[in-house]
Amino acid sequence: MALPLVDKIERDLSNGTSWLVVLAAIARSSEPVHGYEIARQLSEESPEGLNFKQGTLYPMLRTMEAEGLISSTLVPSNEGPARKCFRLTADGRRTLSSWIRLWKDTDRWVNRVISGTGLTGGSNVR
Amino acid sequence: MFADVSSHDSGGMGKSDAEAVGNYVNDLERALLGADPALIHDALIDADSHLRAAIASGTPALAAIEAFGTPSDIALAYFREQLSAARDGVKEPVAQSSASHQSTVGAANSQSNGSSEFVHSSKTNESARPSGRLRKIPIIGIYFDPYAWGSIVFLTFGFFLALAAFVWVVGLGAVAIGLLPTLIGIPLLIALLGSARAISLFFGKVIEVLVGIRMPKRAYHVDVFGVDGFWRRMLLWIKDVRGWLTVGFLVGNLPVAVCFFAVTVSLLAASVAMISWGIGTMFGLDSIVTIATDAPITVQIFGTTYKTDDQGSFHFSLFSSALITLIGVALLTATLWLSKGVAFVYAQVVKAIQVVRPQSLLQY
Repeated sequence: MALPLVDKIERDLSNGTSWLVVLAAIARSSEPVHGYEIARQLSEESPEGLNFKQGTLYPMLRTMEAEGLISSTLVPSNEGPARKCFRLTADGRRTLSSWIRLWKDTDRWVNRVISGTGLTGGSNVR
Repeated sequence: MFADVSSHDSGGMGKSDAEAVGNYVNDLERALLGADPALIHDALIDADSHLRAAIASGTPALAAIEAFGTPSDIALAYFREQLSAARDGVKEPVAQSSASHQSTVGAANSQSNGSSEFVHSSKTNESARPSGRLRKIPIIGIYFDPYAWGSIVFLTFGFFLALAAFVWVVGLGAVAIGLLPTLIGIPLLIALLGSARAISLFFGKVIEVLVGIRMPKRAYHVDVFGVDGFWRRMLLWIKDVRGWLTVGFLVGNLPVAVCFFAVTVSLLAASVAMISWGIGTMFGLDSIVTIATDAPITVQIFGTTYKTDDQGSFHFSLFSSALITLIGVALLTATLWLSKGVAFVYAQVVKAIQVVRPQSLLQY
């Protein structure tokens, strides 16, 4: 497999899953959470080799807000100007719930298919 | 953001950190070349705020920049947002929306041509919608354009918004200037500058909803954090060129809004009156115009001569009424086109004021 294709697959997969993890990161916080904090958490938790680019989060949050999945409030900060903090809307919660179910189904299906290949998915992939 | 930090630390950052952030922001701006100015404005503020927050929390500047992503990757993410905004109005399930992102991101291999790919995709998507097809009908397609009707609403009711902003800015400005000798005026002046930026941002939101032009979603902030001394912070606010430009816009906007209001309401009133004239005739109402004069008046319209009766009223034929109705429809169509055009130009001016970044303020 040509390496540029692997890069493309990685990029497409990342685009497909990033909304899910961002929504989940907001959902698990009991308080409204600001963009920098979401980016920090996702970077910390991303597995080695998966390069989450923190800067891609902001346009994503803006689109999610326009779609009505999250809402924002301005919260004063001691470290700078007021920060925009996000929480899930009822629509966002319903969407996330459906998405999690879809993700689990996809995960089971993909794992079932690739388990028959005999490949480990280790460093020999690249 | 974008304040002159060459003479002081900014937000707890050293000069080299501030330079690194500044260089990154400039690179990102170059990567976003060709994008909507409002989108570039938001992207640069996002990057600047994030990197400053990361550095303030103890992350080294270079590590923060690396984690943020390369300018080309980030530019691509913003181009995707532009695509999503272009599709606004189509309420698709989020999963489909995401799938669409995936299909388009593959086509945009580099940020330099990513913009045109996304613009093309959004146009294709728009033409597939029923309302999009109706809007493409020559001339009368404007009746199916919600933003044309929104422009009329904005040009009419924007007057009240402009009036409220004018009263606030002039009132607070007068009090602040009057109290300047007692020094209480300086914080009031800062309140004026801060509130003017907030009002301008609100203006932008109203324009975006009604006129459909992408406006900045974030206001720049004057970089006073980490600056020691109350009066030095006040001075940074007062030296901020864009704050004064915004105040000037809110003051100068009132006469412009008055003109918009007068012209739009007059054109609407004339066209609605003409259209209702014909409709009234069709429902059996006598089509008359009464003039408060005792002397008989004779007028000629479309080759037909009309003369006032004993009550000073003109009686028009069904044909004349229908013709006047047609003129009313033509006038309403022209009003819609004119309103959309004027609102578009006005939105571009407001956007230019909001995103303006004098070169001197870009020097870190």
